Amino acid sequence: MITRVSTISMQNNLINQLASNQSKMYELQIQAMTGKKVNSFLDNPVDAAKILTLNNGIGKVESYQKNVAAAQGEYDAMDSALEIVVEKLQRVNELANSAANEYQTKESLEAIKNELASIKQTIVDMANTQYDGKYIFSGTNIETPSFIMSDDGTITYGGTPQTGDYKRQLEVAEGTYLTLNAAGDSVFGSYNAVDGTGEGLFKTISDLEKAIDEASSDDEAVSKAGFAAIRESINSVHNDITTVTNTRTQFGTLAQKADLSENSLADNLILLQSDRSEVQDVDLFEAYSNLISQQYALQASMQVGAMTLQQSSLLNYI
Amino acid sequence: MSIIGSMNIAQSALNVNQMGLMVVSNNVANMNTPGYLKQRLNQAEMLGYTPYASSKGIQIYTGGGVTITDISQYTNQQMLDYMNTQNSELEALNAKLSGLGDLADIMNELGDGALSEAMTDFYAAAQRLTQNPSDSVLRINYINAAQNVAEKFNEISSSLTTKRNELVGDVNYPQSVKESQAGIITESVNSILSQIATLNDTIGKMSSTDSTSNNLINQRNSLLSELSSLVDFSSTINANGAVNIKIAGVDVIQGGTQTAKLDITVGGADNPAKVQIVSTDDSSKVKISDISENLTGGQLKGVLDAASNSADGITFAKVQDSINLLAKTFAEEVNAIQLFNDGNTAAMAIGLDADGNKILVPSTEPIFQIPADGADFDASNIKINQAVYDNPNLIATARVEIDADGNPLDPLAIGNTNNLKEVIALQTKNFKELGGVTFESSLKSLVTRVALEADEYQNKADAQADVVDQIQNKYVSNGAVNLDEELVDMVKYQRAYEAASRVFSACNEMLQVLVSLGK
Repeated sequence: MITRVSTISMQNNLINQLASNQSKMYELQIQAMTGKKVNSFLDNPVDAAKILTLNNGIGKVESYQKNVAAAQGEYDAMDSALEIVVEKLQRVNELANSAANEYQTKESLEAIKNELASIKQTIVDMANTQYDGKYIFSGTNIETPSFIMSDDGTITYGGTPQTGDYKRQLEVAEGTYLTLNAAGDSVFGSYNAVDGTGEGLFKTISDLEKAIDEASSDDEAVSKAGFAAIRESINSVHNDITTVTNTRTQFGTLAQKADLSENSLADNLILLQSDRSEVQDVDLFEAYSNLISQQYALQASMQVGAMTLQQSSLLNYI
Repeated sequence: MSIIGSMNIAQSALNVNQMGLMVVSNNVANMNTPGYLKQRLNQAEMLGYTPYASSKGIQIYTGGGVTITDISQYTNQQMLDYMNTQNSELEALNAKLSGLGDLADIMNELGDGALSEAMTDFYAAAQRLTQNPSDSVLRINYINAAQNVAEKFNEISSSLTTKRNELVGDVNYPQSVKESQAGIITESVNSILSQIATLNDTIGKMSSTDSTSNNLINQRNSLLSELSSLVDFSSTINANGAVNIKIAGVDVIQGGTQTAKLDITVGGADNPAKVQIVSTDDSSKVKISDISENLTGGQLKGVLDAASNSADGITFAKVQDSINLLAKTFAEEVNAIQLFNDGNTAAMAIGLDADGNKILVPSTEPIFQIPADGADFDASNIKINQAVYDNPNLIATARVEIDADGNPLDPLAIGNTNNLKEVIALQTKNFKELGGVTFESSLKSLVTRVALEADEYQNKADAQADVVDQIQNKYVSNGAVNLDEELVDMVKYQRAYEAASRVFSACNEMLQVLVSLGK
């Protein structure tokens, strides 16, 4: 029990009280202004460490989201290209069926052949589709045109072969990758005009063109063989349509996977953000009401201080 | 018995009460002076020899007036010593806390532009680059992110060095040790010691009843309290009122003479500032060569502790070492991936063929400039290889099979991002060098440890501040000026003075009556 109190210790006491109330006020003000209760590691080391972990997690998820978006863009580009290719192949099928009719005139065979040539060019263009500056059917040779058609009708593949490491992949979750590309040669094949070898739809169309040439020949034997070849090619066209459609389906599935990833990443992001918010963010209502009650406390201590310092002194009475 | 005698008594009262008012006045004047203790005028009756024969024939004596015995003040040397010891402890904690606070600020990973943010950005840039490794914008983005990480390391490293140099100086520059905080504290200690010695000398020569000696003791107490903030000491008061002081067990003040002083010199890398105690006459006579082990309190201990590499707990050096290790691990891992070659596959950058087309070429340039003279990477020397910065195509994004000459089997496979995948994998890789944890959690635990240690010291300092506050409050409450008390005293002396002057004028009137009787 202190029986004697010096004036200076009363004053000091008041100053200490005011200072401690003001520092509480300041802390609450910062919380209310930033909306965060953990602004630095010193505020709460354990919570701050948790926030750091969550920040890093959020950073990763945001990267994955960008990757998914890039994958989706590439899948869309691939699907549009393959859709046109399938349409064109169906037209090739029609043309082959029509050309297989042995009563076709030379003129109409010629027209069919011309249309085939234009279809072939369209398919080559489709096979050389670029997305974000990359040739999407070239495997990892993203800077190399997927197919080059020379004047003699040879179509060569410029991408990486299907066998080997041709895949381009993007990470969409830790350790989970989406493959972006199909190897162009497995979808479109190739054709060597010199020896007539090749594979896939390019060979089919080239063979068909050659068969139509033969069919329109004046030599009956040659013409007959030509019509036979046309009939044969119909089967090949069917196979090619299946190949391309399979590829479309395959990447359609991947695109669905990307969509699923997109959803789960968005969910994940919300979860991480709400976790972080729980640790880091201040309950604004609470912060404001704390601020107001602290303000009252500060005012009260000022008022009491002013009263004790000024009024309750003998100085006022003698 | 005489009227003159009465007048003399009244005069003594006038004098004493005037003196009383002076003491009040001095107390009021110094009510806000730090360390000032209220002075009291102690008065006593003056024995008189004014005999008067009584009816019974014996002589009766009255008093001879009032006199001052002394001017005293409240002191409690024991309490003062205790207060000073506790204050030393508080100041040591505060100084250490301030060092830890600096560390925590430098390592505040929640702030803007923190290292972990730079790392996250770097990995995000790597992910982004996997989307299109031939896109030059993404390459520039990647190398800038790497540069940002390096610069963040540099910044932390230089902040750590600067802060530590502020505390104890740089071991390579003796002048910086003298100008450091430890140097300034040492200077202040010496200056206070010499002031105390001078006061000791004066106090010893004065009589204890003199009120100025009280003032000098107040002054000395202030100095002792100031000294306790800087360094812990033990003191004893000798017979003539002088205070003897020992620092780290060595006599530094004996009576009116300062026998020894502190001296700051350059120590080793672990403790750049070495504080020793040397003789005042001859600074080559070293009494203790390093007092840091003997100190228990004061800012000097806190500062030396905060900057010492050998102290327990978190130190600048430990943080610096951890950051260096992080920088070294990061730079080495990224470079190893950038220059990867196991004979079958190798890291590939982008070059141009004869026609100016992009092709894969073996990667030869590291991402981070290899330090000169075979030195290891650390947080201060990690920097981007300018060649890669100028030509981001040198970033090895691909990792492909190679022929016997080390050239890629498929030079056109620019879209291969296997090398980048390895970089991204660093984000989740557990490093043996870091104690089997990821880079991220190593950094996180370092920062958390710094903050927890600062937290611990904050709690200790808060508790100690309460202790000091309480003692101080008690001491000041008992000893310092209370205005109301002074005002009461003032009225008391004023009234007594008025009364004495009335007595005086009554005597005067009586004397005039006496004089007129003789006419």
